[in-house]
Amino acid sequence: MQKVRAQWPLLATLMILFGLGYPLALLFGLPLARRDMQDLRKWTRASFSAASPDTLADEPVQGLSFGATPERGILIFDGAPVEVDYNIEGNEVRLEQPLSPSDIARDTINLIALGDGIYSIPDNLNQDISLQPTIYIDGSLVHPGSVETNEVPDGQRTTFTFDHPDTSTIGRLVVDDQVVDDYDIITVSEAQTEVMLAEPPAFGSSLQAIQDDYMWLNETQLVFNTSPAETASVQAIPSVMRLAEQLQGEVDGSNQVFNLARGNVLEQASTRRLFVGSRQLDGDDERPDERVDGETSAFTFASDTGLISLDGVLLTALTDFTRDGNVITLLTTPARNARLRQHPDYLLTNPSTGQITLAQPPTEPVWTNEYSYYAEPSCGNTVLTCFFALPQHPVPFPHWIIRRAPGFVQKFPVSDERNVLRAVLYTSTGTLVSLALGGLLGTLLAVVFVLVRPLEQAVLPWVIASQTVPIIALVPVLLLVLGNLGITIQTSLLPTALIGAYITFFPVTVGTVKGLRSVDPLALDLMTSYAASPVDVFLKLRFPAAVPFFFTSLKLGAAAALVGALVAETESNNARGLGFQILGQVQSGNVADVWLLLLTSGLLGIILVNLVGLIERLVAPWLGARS
Amino acid sequence: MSLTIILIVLIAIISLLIFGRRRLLLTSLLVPVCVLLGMFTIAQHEAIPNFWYWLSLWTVLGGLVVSVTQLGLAQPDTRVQLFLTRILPSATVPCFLLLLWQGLVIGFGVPKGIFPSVGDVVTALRSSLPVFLNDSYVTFVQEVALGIAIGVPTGILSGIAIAYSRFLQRGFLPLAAAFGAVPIVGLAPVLGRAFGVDWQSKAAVVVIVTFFPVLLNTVQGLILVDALKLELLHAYASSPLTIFRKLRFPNALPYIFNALKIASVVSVISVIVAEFLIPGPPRGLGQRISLSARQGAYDVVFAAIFVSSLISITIYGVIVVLERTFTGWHPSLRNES
Repeated sequence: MQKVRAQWPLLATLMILFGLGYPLALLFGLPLARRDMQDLRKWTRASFSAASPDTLADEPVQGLSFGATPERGILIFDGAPVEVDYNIEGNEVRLEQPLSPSDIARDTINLIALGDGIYSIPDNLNQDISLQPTIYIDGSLVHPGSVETNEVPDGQRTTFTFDHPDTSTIGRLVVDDQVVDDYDIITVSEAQTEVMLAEPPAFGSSLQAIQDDYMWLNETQLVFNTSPAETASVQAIPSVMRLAEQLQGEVDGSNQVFNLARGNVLEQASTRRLFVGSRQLDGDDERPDERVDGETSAFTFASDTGLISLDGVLLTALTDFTRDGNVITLLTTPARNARLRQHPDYLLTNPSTGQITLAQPPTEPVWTNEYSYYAEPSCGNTVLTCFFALPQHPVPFPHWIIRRAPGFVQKFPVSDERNVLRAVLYTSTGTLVSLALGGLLGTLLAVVFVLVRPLEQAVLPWVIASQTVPIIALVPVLLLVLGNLGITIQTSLLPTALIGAYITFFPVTVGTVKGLRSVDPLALDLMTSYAASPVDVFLKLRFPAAVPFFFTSLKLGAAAALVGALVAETESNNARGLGFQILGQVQSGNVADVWLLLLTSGLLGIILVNLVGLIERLVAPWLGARS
Repeated sequence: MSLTIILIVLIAIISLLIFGRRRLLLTSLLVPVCVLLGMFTIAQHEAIPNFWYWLSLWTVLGGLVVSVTQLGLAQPDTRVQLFLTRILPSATVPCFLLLLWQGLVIGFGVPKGIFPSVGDVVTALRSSLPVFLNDSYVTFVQEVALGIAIGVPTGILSGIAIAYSRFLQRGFLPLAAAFGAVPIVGLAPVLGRAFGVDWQSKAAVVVIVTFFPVLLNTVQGLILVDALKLELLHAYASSPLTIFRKLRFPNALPYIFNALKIASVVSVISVIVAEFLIPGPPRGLGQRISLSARQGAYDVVFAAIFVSSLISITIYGVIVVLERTFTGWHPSLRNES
């Protein structure tokens, strides 16, 4: 009881340190989480595309319904805004005057059923179907969609997982362009389904699952998730009325700045299609004929109209440059290798707000039927969810470390060299060997110093200076030299032992010299009066006096030698020790394992120091009363 | 040629052994002569060093050893002689080692890619001095100096707090002592995740590495005061603040300086290991060492080690000078003449 009471401050401090781990984890983790959240590359991508009507009728209609409507809808047919007046209410579009079916859908193609839910576009069709058309079954819209498997088919694997939104599941599986029906669904979790195929897909093939109503197998064939009734008419319509998004901005003949409904737009021009009236805008840019070498200021472009940008920043005419046909003269010479571009039609001036500047003020509505944007951080919408989603926490929550401990010990069987206990054994062997070596060397040097005083004067300053040499920096060189001497550094204890010995010998030398000199002068006089030989003086007087000093120094050296051993192991790719394991776990990002390894090596350090203390008590029992 | 050198050195050694003890200046002269002759021997070597090369090299080195021992045994009378006997032996040791290194590398014809000669290292040092200066700035100013500037004051302050609280003494002190045995460099990769791979994480390593020795020594210095002095101050009814200012803190100063010496050495070693373990932008002496070692440019490795040792010895020296100024009253320093 008394003992427990004496220990309680220690326990309390341990608890406090344990608790401190939580704010520390947040302190270090939250900035990383915030960085993850702000990094657009780690956002999920979404894209807007114009919707087709849900149903097609056979007779003239006054209302059309769409699955989803953009904020500012605009009806498009045949690549141009329709000329009819209409209002949009929710998902419904009310037309002022009825439109005939041919004004809503044109060039309908009846697909040929090949059986098993597979349909094909007729071969004898001389239509350009390079743009995959919209598909209707009995006049109702169906949606395409598929998801690729997370694993790579290697010709042997048969179990695969698919990600999908947690509201849906996956449909039929397709390997390359063949439908596969011979599989079992193993598990279905919230957002993932695992399946096992009867036959492993071939190496390098593509395994997909239908996620919506159908997917295209190739340019002319498509497969439905659930086969339509045999009597149903399956139609592909290349040209159908669509509800597109109109860009925000005055069309008054002078305004050039327009805004997309969504911000955080992808910068690549190929991900969006913009139109003014019926004309599609060219998103590509032109490079100048001349090199931007930091000296030239006049540049020639292919066309003689367009916006000029320098490193993505729009330049204004007259204040930044003057134009003479297709030759642009910049008023300030651009820096070498600056990105100078001409944009014939438009420039995405501000991706984060979706702002677009047109080269010419439009007189017709500006609209888009397709563009991609970053929707939201993939780790979640709050910093805290992002914190928990971090792949590697710099400082994990303390209970995570404890929870990991059993798995950490059992990760490798004892027969495996990578087992933690074996690594501990290996590293402690190396440290002990280096301690013995360093202790011996240090004692020898100390004896020489005591015997030959001139040598001490000459060498001791350099022994002290040698400790400021970052010897660990020499590990790579030492390894190479040892390698050249024919010692396989991957398995040898020698590098560890040498480094550890170098680190240990210094405190031992200094301490032992002090100890050998700490002899009582009276006792020395007595020995002299007995005409004792120098050997006797050493054996009977100096050595016993030096023992406590020697062991105190050795304890100091033990902790340092362990550090040396760990570093030597990381550098020598020695796959057996703790140091290598720490490095390996850092590289594979198992932060909890790294902390466990650190705790283990800390514990090992304490044990080694105590072991030296134990040896001290065995060697010099008369010192027992001292401590 | 070699024969002449051997003869000169042998005659000098023999005359030394006869007159050396009395002619201290003669002995002192032999050291530079031997060094010069050694350099000359190595410079004059032929493609395949012959027997005479080795003989003259070993004679010269032997001459150095003899003169150092003679210097140690000499009885200096004047100030100049005293100065010579104190400086020359310790100055001879690096000359001896460098001659040995250069002589062996040249003699065995070791290629530069396996082990560089002293000449290669000097060439590397001179040709890329700006690079080394830049690296030293990153390693020593941004990382070591900043880390020490944060770690040492916090260590001293926490030490004071622990010394004045029984609870912390019982609870925290054993843990802090145990931390001394933890290989803190292992923390480097973790800190790299937390602070980024640039110099900040390495400065953090220095903070931790310096914090614990300073803390432990401060606590010891504050606690281990002479009970008699403490009683005297109590008898004068001194306030705790006065006791701290007049007794405890002065008592702790030698301990703190001792900790500073340890911290200065350990922080340089740790920062270089940290640069090994946290590969970041290729700046800093540690990174230079590990990158050059990987490319087999060992001359650069040794030059970088030389630069870092030089700076770290300078730091150590500055601390020793400060120690003498602030704790000159302490017995351990008074005893030294």
